[in-house]
Amino acid sequence: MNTKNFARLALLTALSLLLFTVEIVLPAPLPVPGAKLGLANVVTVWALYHCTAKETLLVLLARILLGALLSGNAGALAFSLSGGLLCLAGTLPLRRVIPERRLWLCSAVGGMLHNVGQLAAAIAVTQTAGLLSYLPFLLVSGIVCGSLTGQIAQQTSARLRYYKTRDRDDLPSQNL
Amino acid sequence: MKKFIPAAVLLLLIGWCLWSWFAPPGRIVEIVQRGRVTARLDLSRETGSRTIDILAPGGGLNRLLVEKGRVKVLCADCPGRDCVKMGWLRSASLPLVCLPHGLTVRYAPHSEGELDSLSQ
Repeated sequence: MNTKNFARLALLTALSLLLFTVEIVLPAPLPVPGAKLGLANVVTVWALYHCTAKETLLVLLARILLGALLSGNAGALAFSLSGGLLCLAGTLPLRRVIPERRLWLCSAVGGMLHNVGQLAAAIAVTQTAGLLSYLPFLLVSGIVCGSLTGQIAQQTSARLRYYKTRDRDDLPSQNL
Repeated sequence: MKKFIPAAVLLLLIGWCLWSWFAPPGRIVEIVQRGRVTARLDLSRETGSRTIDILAPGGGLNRLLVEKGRVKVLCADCPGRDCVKMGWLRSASLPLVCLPHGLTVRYAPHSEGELDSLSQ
């Protein structure tokens, strides 16, 4: 991994941590444990389409570990880890099927998988099968929040591409 | 036709949500810690309001507020306080949970019949 790439991944991680910290302040949309907007995943979804699988995994793991330290909620580490890994495992094959201009679809599936993984970890930890009754809420909130964050990532990606091409000075020779 | 399948699935999921949100409440509340029922309360026999402190195995506290016919987590020393934000225990299929303390407060399944009410 060269230095430029390393710096890029570090920037992505920092950005994602920043969004994660901002989100702690925002109130949860639903009074259901585990349901949240997941703003930090804007960065993960963007990285999914612009980095290799290994790099995305690195950004995700760094964000989850540092995020647990920052929020002082180390007990939630198992839940976010299982959710994040299941989400990544599901969306990595999906990025070959879904084009980047439909990025939000990939993100919606990812949000759903994230919440499924989280709930599975919660059931394993508390050994209470009754938590399964939260599955429909977590599925719906995963789809809705995933679509929203995916839409943000998609718009950002389109604007980044625009600015990248706008300021290029190697104009192609015109055949006038 | 293919376009309607995701919409139908989403509608079904929302229906499932509404169904469990409006499930009727019960009368007997169970306090479950780490998968074991540690206490039962008969809400119809409560008079006035009182608080019950539930201690977690690792050293944590959830304070329940019990009134006639309803119960909620009043305060807790867990990091997220999701259990407090969930408010009153409202339906038989949506228990109050505190994941860090491994605590679940739920309505007892209906098949159990009459029980002696014991607290703590």
